[in-house]
Amino acid sequence: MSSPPRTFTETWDQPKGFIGFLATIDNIPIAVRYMVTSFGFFLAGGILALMMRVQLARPENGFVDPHTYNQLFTMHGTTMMFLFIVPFLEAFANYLIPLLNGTRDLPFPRLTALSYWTYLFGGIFIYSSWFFGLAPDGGWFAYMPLNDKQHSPGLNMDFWDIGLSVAEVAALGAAAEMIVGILRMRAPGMSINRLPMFCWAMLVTSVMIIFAFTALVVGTAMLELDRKELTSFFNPDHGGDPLLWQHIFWVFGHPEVYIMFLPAVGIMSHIVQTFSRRPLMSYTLMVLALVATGFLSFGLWVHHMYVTGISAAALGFFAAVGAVVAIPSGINVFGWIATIWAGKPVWRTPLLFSLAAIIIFTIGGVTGVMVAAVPFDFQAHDTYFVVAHLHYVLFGGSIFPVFAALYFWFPKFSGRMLSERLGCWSLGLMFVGFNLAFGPMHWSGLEGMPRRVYTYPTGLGLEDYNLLSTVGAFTLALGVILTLINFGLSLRRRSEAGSDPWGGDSLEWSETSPPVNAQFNSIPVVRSRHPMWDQITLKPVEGDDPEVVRAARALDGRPERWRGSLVVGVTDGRPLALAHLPRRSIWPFVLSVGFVLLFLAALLDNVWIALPGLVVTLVALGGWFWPLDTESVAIRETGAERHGAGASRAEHPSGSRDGSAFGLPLAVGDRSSNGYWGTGVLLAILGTASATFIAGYFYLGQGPTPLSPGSEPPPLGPALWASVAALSSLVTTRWLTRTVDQGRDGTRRLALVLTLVAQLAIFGLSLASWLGADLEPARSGYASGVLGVLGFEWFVALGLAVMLLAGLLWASLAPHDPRGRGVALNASLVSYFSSVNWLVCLVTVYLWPRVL
Amino acid sequence: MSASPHSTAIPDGRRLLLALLGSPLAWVVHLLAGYLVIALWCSSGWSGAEAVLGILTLMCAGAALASAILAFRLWRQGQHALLADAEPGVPESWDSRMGERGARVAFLAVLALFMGGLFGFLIVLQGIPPLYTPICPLTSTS
Repeated sequence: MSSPPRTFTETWDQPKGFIGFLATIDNIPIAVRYMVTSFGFFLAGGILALMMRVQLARPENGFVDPHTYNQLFTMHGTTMMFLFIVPFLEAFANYLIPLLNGTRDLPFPRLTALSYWTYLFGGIFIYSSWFFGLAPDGGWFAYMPLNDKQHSPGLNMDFWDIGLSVAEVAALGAAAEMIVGILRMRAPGMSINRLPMFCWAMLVTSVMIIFAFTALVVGTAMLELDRKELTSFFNPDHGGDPLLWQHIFWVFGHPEVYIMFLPAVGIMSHIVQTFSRRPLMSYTLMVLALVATGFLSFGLWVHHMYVTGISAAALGFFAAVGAVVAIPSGINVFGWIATIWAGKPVWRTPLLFSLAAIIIFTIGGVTGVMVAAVPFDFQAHDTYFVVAHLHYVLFGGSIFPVFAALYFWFPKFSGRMLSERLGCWSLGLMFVGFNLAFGPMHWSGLEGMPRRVYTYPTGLGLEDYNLLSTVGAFTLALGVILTLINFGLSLRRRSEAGSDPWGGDSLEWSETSPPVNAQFNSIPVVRSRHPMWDQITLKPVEGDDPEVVRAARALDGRPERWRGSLVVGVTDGRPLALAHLPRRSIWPFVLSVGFVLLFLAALLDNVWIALPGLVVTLVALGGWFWPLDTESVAIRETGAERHGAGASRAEHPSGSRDGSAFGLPLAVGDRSSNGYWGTGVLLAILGTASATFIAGYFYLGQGPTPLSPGSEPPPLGPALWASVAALSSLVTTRWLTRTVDQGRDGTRRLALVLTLVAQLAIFGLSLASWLGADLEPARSGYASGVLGVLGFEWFVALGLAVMLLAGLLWASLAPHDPRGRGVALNASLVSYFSSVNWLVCLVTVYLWPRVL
Repeated sequence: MSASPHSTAIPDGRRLLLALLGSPLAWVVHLLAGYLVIALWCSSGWSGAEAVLGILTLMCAGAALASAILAFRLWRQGQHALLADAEPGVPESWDSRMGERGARVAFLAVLALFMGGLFGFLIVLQGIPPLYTPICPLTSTS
């Protein structure tokens, strides 16, 4: 391991060479790779779409056969949904959030790198299927039973399922990063009501990703287990239910639409206010719209299931939500229009792209209200009307805003201006091409043309609509190509952009274009929602709060030997502590290689791939959690070790600790640390996963009234003993947190041991209960549901055991090191979860069937 | 906390969080519980789901209204803090010096107030279909 750097610039330098390329964890280079990769997938997905349009240009065309067509539409949807839009917006956020927040990096830089590598490998994994003639062919939604082993015996959908799982890990990692980064790492003075709109949008989006993608992770795990014929979650022959898959998928799938739209709200708000030369109309209402949409999007999943036989009264519930979600969307649209109306708009390409987005999204929104009406949906379901609707929503809500954002922030990313003329031509072609491609689909759909058909017969009146759509698709593609040419020319012409070419209001425009490695050498002080418009200087001035002044001065070109940035209060933006950030690491790359090997082993059922995969994963995890030299320096310089834990910010109102060279404590080993907050996000993920398994268990209808013969619940005895262990664990965990809070490093070890024993007892006893039951998940939906609920608890308990062992190692080898206290504190959070989750298991699996 | 109209005390975070999340959580409860009542109640062959849904709607709408009222009271406190900060004298908290204290609370409270209105309206809207559509037995589209 190299020695710690000695100067501020050296500290923030990026590693050189090939290994350095793999070990880079800085947000900006990773974000650029993310953007380039996801844009590459966008082009690939676009080519697949053009091939479909060639096939449909004429009736009874033979350009591709039906099976290839199935692969085309499956991969097109999968690419655009999972490999382009969400990753591209996350890449934007990776780049922009620290700049907008006035901080130096995201809170977990290694997670940023891990997200990128797993995403890249997941995407390559899915696309490699083309080379084996095994491209997924069961739709991007993988409906069951069409995609079970019996009806889809090849590896096609395994590629989809497993590749997607890798990409999901990336999305969840990025979301955790954003939540903690936006809430905790901002410039002093940037209170919650001064957050830039893109930060609000990404905050809401990331919270949605945590809930929605976790449900999908669970769903795809169930799907793969069913496809391996180990369980029967979705197999009706064995008491499973294919509709359970639809529920889980669309609980993810509908919020996914808004996950793609909300970042665009943030993007367009920045663009509209910058080019209207005035603040956004009604910031509060626009934030309300974001938050409300985030909630409402989770009440819309049944929209995709209107024709599955759900009660009319229940459908009314979801139709009501569909009508009401138009309100926040309308607030967004009218907010932008009002801002332009009240401002002095400068009609540059980013604003024009945004206007196009508003028009297209509004049309998509109106047809959305139409298909949210149950009687209309009964007629339009699975027709091209829905294809038209979803493309209007996604192009208006994501693609055009992404292009607007590219034109807006490309000067910041590259330091070069784009050609306005080429930009306008690109926009014109894309706008005309898009409407030509998807407008006629409304009519072809109303004429009765179904989705996902590889051809249509002559004489149904569909020829002209389809030919127009094909011409439009190619026109749209030409517009995209013009933007690519624009990028290339701009990079060659070297038209310098300067730091603030548009006169923007937010902090990213205060930095050089492109930003240097150590962005915000001096931490800015924020006194307004529009600091670049309202503030004469970003430096501390007379009248600022002394704490703010002290924090800004402490971080002026410092720390020199380790990467540090400011941690602030969630709502008030008050300086609380310093966060240490890792500098470089090869382990995220290695870990992602381990993941891919494990997933490949799952695909091929090959233990000889699984073993090296497991070794690589374990080695990478060991390397990841190995103590960092720079963090040791940070602990010494801030006196964190000497002062022990439990010294919360409230106990140090002056913000200083004796011995700290910065006047601020280091956020390590207590509740102010990013790791603690990250563990909080992890709990949300675990809670969602558990809830999904439990919902699946109950949905199968087998809890209270077992349908399958021999579906007796597992024996109660071991479960009751496990519950005693869970209650004991709650007590020992409480004791563990107290030892940390009170800085009693000596007794921490005993608390850790007792908690570990209790958790292992939960695991062992519940496993014994399962083994004592006569349950066969491969042949029983009920048993599958039980295995899902219990198996998840085992997974949590075992993962927690590893955390507790790590805490024990710290407590034994370096009892006074605050990092060890941090591990114990984080483990205590998971321990509370594991114990409570087991008690929920007890009620669900053991008591409910016996009582009712 | 029962602050007087002229109190400049800043509401604690938990009350703000309750005001913010109360109404959307009431809606989540209404949606999921309503859906479960229809699915489980009817499949169990019990009658009277209409009454259960009606009571559920009233309770959840009441919860949304309560969170909106709480939000309104918090907003008034924020406004008073904003006025107090504008007066000369020793500032009471760190961010009053940055001109932020009341504005921050008022922002969150207004957000919560709007959320209460929107989700309260939605709960009432969701309560209407069971009045006009048959609930049990389950209907089928086929």
